[in-house]
Amino acid sequence: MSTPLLEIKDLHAVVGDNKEILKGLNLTVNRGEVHAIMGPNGAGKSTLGNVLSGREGYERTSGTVLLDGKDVFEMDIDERANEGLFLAFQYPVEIPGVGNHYFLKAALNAKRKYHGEDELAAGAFLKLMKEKMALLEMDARYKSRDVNVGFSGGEKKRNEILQMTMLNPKMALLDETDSGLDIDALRIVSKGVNSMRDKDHGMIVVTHYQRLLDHIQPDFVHVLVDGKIVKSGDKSLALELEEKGYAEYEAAA
Amino acid sequence: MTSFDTDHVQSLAADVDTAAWLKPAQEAALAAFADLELPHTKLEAWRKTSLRPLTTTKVRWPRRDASAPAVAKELGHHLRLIVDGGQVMHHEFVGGDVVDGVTVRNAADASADEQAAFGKVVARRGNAMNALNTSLASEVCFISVDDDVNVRIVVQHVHEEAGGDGDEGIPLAVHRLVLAVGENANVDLIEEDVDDAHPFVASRLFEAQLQKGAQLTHSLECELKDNQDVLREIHVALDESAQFHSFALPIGGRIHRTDLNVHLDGHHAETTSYGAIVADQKNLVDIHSLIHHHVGLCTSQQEIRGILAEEGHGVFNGHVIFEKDAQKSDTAQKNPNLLLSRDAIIDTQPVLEIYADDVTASHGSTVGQLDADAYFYLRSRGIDEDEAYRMLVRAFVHDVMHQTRGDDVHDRFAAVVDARLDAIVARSEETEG
Repeated sequence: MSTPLLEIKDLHAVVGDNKEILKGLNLTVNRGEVHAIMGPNGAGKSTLGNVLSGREGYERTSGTVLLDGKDVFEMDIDERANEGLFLAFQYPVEIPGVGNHYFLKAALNAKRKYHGEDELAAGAFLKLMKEKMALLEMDARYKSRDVNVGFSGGEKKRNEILQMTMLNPKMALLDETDSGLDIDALRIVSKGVNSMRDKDHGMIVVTHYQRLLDHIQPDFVHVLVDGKIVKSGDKSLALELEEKGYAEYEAAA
Repeated sequence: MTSFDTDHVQSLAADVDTAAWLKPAQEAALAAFADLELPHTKLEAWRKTSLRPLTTTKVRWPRRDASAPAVAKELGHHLRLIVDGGQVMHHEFVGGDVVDGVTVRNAADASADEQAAFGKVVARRGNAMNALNTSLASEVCFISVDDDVNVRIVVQHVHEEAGGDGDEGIPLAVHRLVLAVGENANVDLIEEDVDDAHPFVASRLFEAQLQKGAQLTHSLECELKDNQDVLREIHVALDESAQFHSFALPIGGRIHRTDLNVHLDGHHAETTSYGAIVADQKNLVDIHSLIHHHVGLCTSQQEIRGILAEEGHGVFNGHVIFEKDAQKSDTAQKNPNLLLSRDAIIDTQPVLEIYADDVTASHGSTVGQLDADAYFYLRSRGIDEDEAYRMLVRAFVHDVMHQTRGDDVHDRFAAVVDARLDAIVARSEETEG
């Protein structure tokens, strides 16, 4: 058995004022697998992504996380990304003054540099960007606009997926990417995500709603309540949750 | 004896030999300067900007070089003026034919209209510094653009010292440009400094009268070394439906002061003023702006960004006046500032003076550091600390660079500001070691 892409063991984490949010989370993602994490508000869904990506204010207190065998907490924020970890944010940040294509190029070249590769030629970059934008049905004007500035909620999410498909991370975590999306946007975003599914990539899809999972069929579904995974199953678990809610698990936690 | 005291200014003025018709104005200006003297920090307009270093700087007239090099490549078809030590050394149309209806004259050849226009807009805001400019303007450049004519003009300042730097003082370059823009004419004026390490003190004054429906775009880029001083005044008056769009990028300098004075004299006149101040090391970069709404139905918009690093000191004073008759007018002013070090200083002051009762006015100044969320976002995409920092520093200025007019101007100015910012970032990384 090869090394898991992501191996989270007994992860405890606090946020800001030392409030413990993750209380012993265990999860293993192997190559080619898509995992869905569902759970009520405040269960720690977004904290997981923030802790993994190294955001300030989110602190691991104990436990380990290995990304393809390497300790993520030994790595800087940008190193984690260059090692193949990607977080699609629930609330993507606007960056006035930085053009979208300039940003993507900087990110892509940072990764190439990290792996000792030459910068991508301008022509090859533009071709790649055009191809991925077509896949995500994005208008060409998003190329030159400033990162997320003036984008609608759905456009920001599409832009996250655009970054993901261009950077081609081995391990991606999508944090409520479906929130605020209409049916068309949901279909398009899912198309982008599905384009990356293969035997080498792993994914965690964090969501409130089962409807995303109609488009992105998970191999495993986990219920996250009060900082721990309390139940795991296949995609039928998502349907069950949709019907019955989380009350049963919350009562137990 | 100090360098900008009355005696020394008088001795410099004694060498000024220009057209006879200009003499009375220059004598009056010299008397005015003797009366007012070099501004000090007890005066409201100079409270944050000390001219004290000038008083110990020994100045002399420049030794100009007639073969001053031109460097404006690209920029298309334009009228190019090479200004060495404040004086227009030559002018020519490049990249295309001579544009009919555009004249360039010196004081000796100035037409009756041009003579009448000299100092007219400036007189509405008379002060010691423009009196100094008037009294010492050994040459005045008059550019007149006829009705309905479109032209791009590029003014390049160089400071070539023939025979090298002496130890007998540093050159004082006095530049005066008088521009007349005819009805519905469109002038795109680009003013830039050619990179030059010589120390100098420059007094630059530009005055323009825009006739009905005329449009003037003034794109200014001036990057100075820490042994260079520029004291600049821009005075523009707008008739009905005229437009004046200013983009100013003053960077660095020991003392780098810009006074922008805009008079909205005709209904439906419109002005915008965008740009950025960059001050690092021990620079002092100051924009004092006065937008004066004399009549109704006019609009003004302004956004000047400040980026202050190391021991840099920035000053922005944005004054807008609405006279009693300036009804149904509006103004919006923004001054966001980014401080990159604990020792950097920004003094920002909006001043609204409103005597009309039906106007819309907004203003906002902010002072901040880099956005931590944006920084994290960049890094989460694999961009390292230094590069993320550099990108966000650049972004702060680029956000207003969109307001330049013309892609070629944008790219040219962006290259200058990016190089300066990259140098700041590189020094900060060195310090952090």
